[in-house]
Amino acid sequence: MSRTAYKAVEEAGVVGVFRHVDAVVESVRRAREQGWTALRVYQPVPSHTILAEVAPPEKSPVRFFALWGGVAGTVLGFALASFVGIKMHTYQGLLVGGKPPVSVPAYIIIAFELTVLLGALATLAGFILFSKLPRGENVAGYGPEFSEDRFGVFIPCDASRAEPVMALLREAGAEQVRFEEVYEED
Amino acid sequence: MPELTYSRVNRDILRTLETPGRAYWIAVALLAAGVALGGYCWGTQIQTGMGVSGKFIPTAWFAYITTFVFWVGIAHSGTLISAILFLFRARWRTPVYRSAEAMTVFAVMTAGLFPLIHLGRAWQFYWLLPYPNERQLWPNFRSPLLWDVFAVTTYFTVSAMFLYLGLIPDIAAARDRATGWRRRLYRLASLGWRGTDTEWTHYSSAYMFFAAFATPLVVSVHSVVSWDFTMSIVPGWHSTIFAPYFVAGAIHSGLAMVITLLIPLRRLFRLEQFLETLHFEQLARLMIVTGLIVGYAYGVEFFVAWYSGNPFELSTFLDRAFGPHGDLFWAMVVFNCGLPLLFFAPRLRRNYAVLLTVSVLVNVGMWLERFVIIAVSLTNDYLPAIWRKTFHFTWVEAGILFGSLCWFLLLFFLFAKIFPTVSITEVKEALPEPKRTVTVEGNA
Repeated sequence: MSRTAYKAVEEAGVVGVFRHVDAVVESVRRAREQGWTALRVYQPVPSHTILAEVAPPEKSPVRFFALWGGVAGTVLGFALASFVGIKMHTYQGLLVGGKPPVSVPAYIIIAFELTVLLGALATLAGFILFSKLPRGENVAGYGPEFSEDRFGVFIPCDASRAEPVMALLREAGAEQVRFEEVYEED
Repeated sequence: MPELTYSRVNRDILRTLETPGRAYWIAVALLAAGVALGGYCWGTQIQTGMGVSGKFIPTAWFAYITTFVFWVGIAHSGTLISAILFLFRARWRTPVYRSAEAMTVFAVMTAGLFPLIHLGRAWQFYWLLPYPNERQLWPNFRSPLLWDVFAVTTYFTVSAMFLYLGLIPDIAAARDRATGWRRRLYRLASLGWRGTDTEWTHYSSAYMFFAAFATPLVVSVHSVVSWDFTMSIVPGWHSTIFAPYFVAGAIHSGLAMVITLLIPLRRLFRLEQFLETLHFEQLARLMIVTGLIVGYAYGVEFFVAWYSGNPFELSTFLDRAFGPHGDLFWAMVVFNCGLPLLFFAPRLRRNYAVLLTVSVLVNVGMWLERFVIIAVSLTNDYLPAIWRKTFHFTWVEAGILFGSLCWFLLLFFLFAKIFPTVSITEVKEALPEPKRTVTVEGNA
């Protein structure tokens, strides 16, 4: 018996390989009609036709990361420059260049740059967080054809329920269907 | 030529990553030797002291800061193409943008070396960072030199992240076909990307926000760089038009560099069906616009110098055009404003030899522009006793400048063999979606 047989199954399901976008949409609709709602679609490009069908109607929460990252940058930029100006004036009696301790026009530039910097950093962090990256090799149903010219519809299910799912995907126009399991890593 | 399909796009673009031939390695070796020469010159300068460079008061900024501004400028069109044209949905940018964005990152990496080289004691670069020293003194947040640190650091970080974000799906495509060290590298760099609907949803959102964040950077970074000069009272520098003038010049030089890099790339990597004449025509058209803006700015500078009634300002500008370095000024005018006008003729802007020649000369012209603005203005200070009309260009400076060009090209050469220089994802997106119901065109 192979060593993997002692490991718990992390994910199992049926994947259908499709060539056409409209066949993918049809398969997703049929699967949902039969109660298979927790599915995912592998795509070589972000097909808006498929995303409109599959993705949740609400927009990506990455936008809040962009917003609050930017706001944090603006606040930090003004706060840092003003803190330094006030501190050096109050405790050291330094009025650099004869300018007020809080020189707003000059500090706008610092605040602007930090707005962009922290906004972009937060956007990247949001993208990585919500996309659940980085991830290992353990992804059920994925194949190299999905980064080239094929689309994949993966429906999680156990082996006992695989047959009707495979039939469903074939009827919707899948070129190929297969049942896959991935096991928990050590 | 066969019609493009998803599969063909993958195959043709990933083919550019295959093991390179002897010509590539010879080019890499020569460029690495150029970088080593630059490193040797910098080492000599550090060991011997700044005396080996041609720095003299009042023209101490003439070589390194001129070249710093030149390289920061080169970066700009990459962001214009990747971010601004993305937001405007200019579809012609698709095959061009990856190279342009990579060029941005490498140009900023090159530019970032020059303030360090110019510092002399480069190992104390961290004094530029905003933290207090042992006497609780902080850098001056009202100084344009500190603004520059923030602007250039932000520009590099955001551009590098933007480039990487766009690369993730393409790296995953490369991973799925690679073997050996490449597969290990791509597995790591692709972060386990699988192209699920969830990933694409968040990716599309993040990409749009990155474009939105990068867009104001195109305008702001070179504006901040221009304020390094305008915030002083040196005649020829203290001008309110510098920010838009510098931004237009930056985009002008960047477009020229994109053309300079893409024409050989297209030929070497056999990317003719992706980088079509149409794309170069659009870049040439943009160069006409930026060249006219730059020419207008040259004229306005002279008008302001005359209209201000400031004798120091007028004297500087007359010296610029008719003084001992007038030949550089007129070369700058011809290269930057005159030559791009050739692109009004469709026959010329479709001719790759003309495109390459003009773009190289515009690059030379844009370096001369920075030299004329920065160095020639410094020769005419308020104190005639310290005027210095000649420049002493030493072999150390020449070696460092040459080394920086080799460094930039080397980074681009290495990038072009490790990562796709044309976006697989965006080229595919531009194709019709494969549908069962469509059989005449598209991928069906």
